[in-house]
Amino acid sequence: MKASLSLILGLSVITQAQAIPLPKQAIKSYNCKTCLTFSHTSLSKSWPIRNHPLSEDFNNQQKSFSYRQTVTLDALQKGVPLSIMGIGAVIRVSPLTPQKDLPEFIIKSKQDTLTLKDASDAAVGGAFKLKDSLGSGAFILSTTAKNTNAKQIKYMVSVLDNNSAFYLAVQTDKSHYQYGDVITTTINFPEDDFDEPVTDVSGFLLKPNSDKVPLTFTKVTDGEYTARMTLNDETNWDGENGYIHAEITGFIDDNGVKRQAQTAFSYSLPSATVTSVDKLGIEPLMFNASVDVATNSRYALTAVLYHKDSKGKLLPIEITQTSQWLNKGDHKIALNFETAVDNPEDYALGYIQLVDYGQMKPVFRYNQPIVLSQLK
Amino acid sequence: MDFLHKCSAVLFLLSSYTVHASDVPSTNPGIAFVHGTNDHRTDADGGYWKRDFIDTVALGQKDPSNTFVVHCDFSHYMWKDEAAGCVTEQLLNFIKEKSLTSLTVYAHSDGGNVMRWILSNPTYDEQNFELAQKITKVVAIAPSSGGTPLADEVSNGGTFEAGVGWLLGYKTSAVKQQRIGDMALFNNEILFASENRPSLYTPFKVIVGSDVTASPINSNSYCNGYWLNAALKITKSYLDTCADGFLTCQSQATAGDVWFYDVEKTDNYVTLSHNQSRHSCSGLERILKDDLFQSGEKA
Repeated sequence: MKASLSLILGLSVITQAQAIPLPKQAIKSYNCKTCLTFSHTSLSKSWPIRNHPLSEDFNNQQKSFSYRQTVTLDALQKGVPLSIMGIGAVIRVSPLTPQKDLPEFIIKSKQDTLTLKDASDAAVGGAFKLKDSLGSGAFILSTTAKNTNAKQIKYMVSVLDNNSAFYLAVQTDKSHYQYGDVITTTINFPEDDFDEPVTDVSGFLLKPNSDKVPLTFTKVTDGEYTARMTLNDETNWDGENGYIHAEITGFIDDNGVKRQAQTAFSYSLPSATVTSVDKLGIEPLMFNASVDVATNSRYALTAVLYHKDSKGKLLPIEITQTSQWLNKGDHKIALNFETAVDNPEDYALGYIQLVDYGQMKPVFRYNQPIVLSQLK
Repeated sequence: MDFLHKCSAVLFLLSSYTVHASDVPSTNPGIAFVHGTNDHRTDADGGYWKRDFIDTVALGQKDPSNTFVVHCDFSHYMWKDEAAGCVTEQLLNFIKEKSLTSLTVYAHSDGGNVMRWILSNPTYDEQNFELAQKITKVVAIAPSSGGTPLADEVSNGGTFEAGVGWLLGYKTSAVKQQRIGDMALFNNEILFASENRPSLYTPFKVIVGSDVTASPINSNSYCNGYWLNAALKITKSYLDTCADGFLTCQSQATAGDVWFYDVEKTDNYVTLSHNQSRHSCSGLERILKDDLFQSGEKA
């Protein structure tokens, strides 16, 4: 009776077992200049990992209380207005033209006119932390330095106003994008605190090669604006990230207030994809992943083995990583674990990630754990 | 009878010990120091890491001569040949030359990212694979695991040349890498050991620097140069209350396990600025030496 029951249960598991459909992903090749230099040796390693939850939760929102502007010595001689809405701001002046020496600066507040050094708690090089006693509001930064090329000599004046209530936050809807994806950028700021609605909202997408692509923001609600753009760059970003820069300018108590913020996003060309994962055996635990490749490169496939705890929650216990040189076409990559699996119902495979070392970026990710008994 | 039993037990234990001791392979551990951001091919030994610091830590091991100082160019992204490739080549040569059986690595600042990339990608190539087998522990001192807003500042224009130029230099790839947004992405995609990510094969123990002391009347301010610490006091304005002048405590603790915050173990409970956490300041060198000794590396 026991044997019959076991046989029936076994047949049931076998009939339920199937190849888990992984998300279909179109692949796209790119010109990889460095890929041929990568190792062609297949290497594999697994190790136990902590049973802490793994997650893809990611928030790339960045909040800024700062702004910067490029000014000439000529403008500084006349006086450059700086709006500082909180106490203890940091003003940093950096020369942008070859001359290294910074002139002496003067800062004028509502109450005082002081050298920037005397107005500061601390000063090193071109960075000055203003004394709290100077308060906030409209300031004028100037210098009495003379130079016949005053209109050509340039400085970057950066203001970190981090005790102010006025910020600009920027984020994108995802952290990673692939060729053809639409990137949606959202910016937030306390628009109600401005004298009137802010009309000067701008931004751009910055590629690793320094190309800037302007973004057009549309208002969603007070203090929230979005911009959308399709990413269709066909070049390899070589591990670098893209950036979104945003800027707003408005008026608060008649003071011009500017904020600039930025956030990063990841981008890759889908040079390969994992189409399926098959279970080869339990003792030892082995899988074969089918990989469709568009670009000759070295790829690393990583996967995590999960085990159910006493409450049935899946927790990661072991990770495996296999790297292989793969030419264009279909391939199999072996994934081996050392964990001795007693009951396949209690284990799952997940956190599948394929990294293209030619781009130093993931080109495929699937993070839903698949119970082993469901894998054929 | 009891006496005979006791004698037999002692003889058995002695024979077991003898057999066990003869089975244990001889160990020959070593240590290596990995510098932070910038090109330190010529000044890592004696400049970035001071000799008295290196020599004191080295005393914690069985053979103090099993000590190496990595000297590479970390102005590049962590995975580049000039960075990770250089580190693996130098460390493997050191391991072979000394016939080491294991290696403890002390990495400062961006050196922690380079080490973490190597250990997160052990199958990248044969060198990473071989080195990952030998490294038994990484002590990451003030690692820039979560990046720094100062890198964003430098990337956006201008420099922190005066006083803190040694930290970042100019707009290099390493500066871009250590921006807050970039490190968050790298942690999420190509590095392990941060929250919600798989752990590393090797322990990654973090020492966190929590503040900057830069007062003319405080002797701690003078360790490794008053003006360098004074400069970090300014850059700390860009960071949190808990920060070493270059990195917030949160950034330092982003990956790995926090071993200790400076004040928990330093002499007189003083803090270590980013300029001090690679030098003989407030007993840091003694803390590392004692840990190395106690961890059994000195058999």
